[in-house]
Amino acid sequence: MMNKVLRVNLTDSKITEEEAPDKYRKLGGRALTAQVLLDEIDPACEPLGIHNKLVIAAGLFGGSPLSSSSRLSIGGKSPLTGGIKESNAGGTAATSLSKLGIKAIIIEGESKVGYSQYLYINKDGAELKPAEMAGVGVYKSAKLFFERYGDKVSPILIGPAGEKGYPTAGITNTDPQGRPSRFCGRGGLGAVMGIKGLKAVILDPADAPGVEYHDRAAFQELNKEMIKILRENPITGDAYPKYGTAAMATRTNALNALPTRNFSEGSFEYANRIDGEYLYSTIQARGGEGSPTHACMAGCVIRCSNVFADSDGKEVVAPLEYETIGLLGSNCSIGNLDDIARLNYICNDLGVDTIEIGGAIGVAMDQGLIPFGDASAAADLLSEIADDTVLGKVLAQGALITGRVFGSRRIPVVKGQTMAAYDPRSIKGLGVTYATSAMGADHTAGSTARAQIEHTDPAPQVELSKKVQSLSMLADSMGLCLFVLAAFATHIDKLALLLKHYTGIECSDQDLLEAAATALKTEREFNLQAGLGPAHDRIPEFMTEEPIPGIDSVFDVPNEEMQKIFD
Amino acid sequence: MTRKEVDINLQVKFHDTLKDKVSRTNQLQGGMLKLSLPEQSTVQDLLSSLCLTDDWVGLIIVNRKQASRKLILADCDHIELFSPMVGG
Repeated sequence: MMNKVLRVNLTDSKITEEEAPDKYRKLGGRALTAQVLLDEIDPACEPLGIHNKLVIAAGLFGGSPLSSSSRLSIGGKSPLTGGIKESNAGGTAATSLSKLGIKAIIIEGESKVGYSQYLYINKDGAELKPAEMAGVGVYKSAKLFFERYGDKVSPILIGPAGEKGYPTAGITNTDPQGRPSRFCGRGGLGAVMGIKGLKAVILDPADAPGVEYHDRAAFQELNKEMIKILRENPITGDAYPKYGTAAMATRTNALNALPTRNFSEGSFEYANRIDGEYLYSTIQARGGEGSPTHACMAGCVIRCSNVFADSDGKEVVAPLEYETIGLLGSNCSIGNLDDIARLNYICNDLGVDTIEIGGAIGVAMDQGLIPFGDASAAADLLSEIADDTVLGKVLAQGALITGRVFGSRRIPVVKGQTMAAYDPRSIKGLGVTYATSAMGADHTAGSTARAQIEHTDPAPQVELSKKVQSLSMLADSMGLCLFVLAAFATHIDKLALLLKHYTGIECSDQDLLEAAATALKTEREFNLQAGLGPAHDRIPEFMTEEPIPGIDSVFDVPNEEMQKIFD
Repeated sequence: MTRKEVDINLQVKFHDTLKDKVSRTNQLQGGMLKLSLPEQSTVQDLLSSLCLTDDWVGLIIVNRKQASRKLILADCDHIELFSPMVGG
């Protein structure tokens, strides 16, 4: 079981290896980052200051062949929300981290050397080196690292937006083909990394010891059963592999929950031009480098990702996902996948979160800065960010600041963070998650969209959100993709057994759920100490006053009801 | 005198993976299927008639409004069926 903590102090360039304390033994991924942050930093610290830390960790299943189990978690205090943040992504980095025997990397202090650095880690140790690619986009930066160290390394890196400390900046890592497009995108953690003076972490697993099994034979036997469960489930076995997350657009559009024109509507007239079926048929028809299915991490049997190619069959971006389609597409009244894919690529290269930037552009369009639906003008706004103009600096602060600068009263944020592509007036359980999660408006903290309940009925939403938030924490802590929950949610006992076979950790399904509940409390405690309490657990007022057209629904889960989620 | 059983006519639209599944055994036109069921049939009766088990169907829309499996269908109802997915 990997148990090494690598501590990197950028202030004095000191790198130390520590044995993880026993209290961290059963923690991985999101739960581990939360506990380290609460233990080691003052929650009231300045997010872009010297006292904030960045914690990079794999989940408890990191490096294992369990499908969809090697997501990379990155945690820190968010410059966007002012609270605790964990953002996770697929890619290759978590597997490389596990092969190197590293449970977590803790990055602290801030560089005084006066130039951008990167951290190189291999089996022999870790070293800080000058990053000559300061200011360079993530695609070229990744290419330079691969040229230097070979294509088996896993770069974790930021773009120019992170280097400038913009709170829309994410941290990306590479997929199995080397694309730096697997973003821990939310919450501005790229800015934390950039302000510390760190451009990248390069994980080189060559000749590393690799992962150890408590009982390899038993793991492999049970893993066969888990793969069978995933393949036989209609969602993980059929729907995601073919249509990917973009299929969500038809569902949210039918529910009046697809953000349209800065969350002023929930149904988009061109929804059938940006949904999963259209994406699939477009990619298939164009051929070339495009592919409607793709695995973002080795061994994933779901393969929900895609490679989107232009009409000449040349790759534009990979992946093109629902949240990006919702925020940079319908939310900006852009109903053309080619336009959205190009905007997606530009955002990736800058290293910004497509949800947050989509929210900022939507607010700017709503205030008349550029017309709704004008993809070319939206690209020009992204150029303003790249060029570091005053307007670009405003947009790069995210939707809240952009909205305030332009005088908007319709700013779709909770705790300063833009909502994902689900309007909480139409899917109220997600509204409860947006409001009460320590993460701010983040669908990955607990999406209720799949639940078979009346989504506009306020009554069952708090209980539902609580349950889903707990399951999401469980998955995030194990390094599991949330999509496996469609098949594994009724097999938590098997996950517990599999964990024992992999790590030796003895636990029941109930233990795992209790650990998830504890980790949620840890995050909440951090936020309370950071000054984020019940008054911040709110859906923006316009959504409680302005009905969503089509179903005439406002967000009406009472605030006091939502507080019961913490009971 | 016994009540005469009357059929209701329904229009069902299937999306993405459900369209793929149902089209294997039914002739769909533009992802749609027209069919008849006995009066007082529920959404669940409709799903059963199409051999769609719970794990295949998530969101159900009837006449543009979200509906439950217990809803009693009426003549000329327009139903849309979606598999249970989340975005990402």
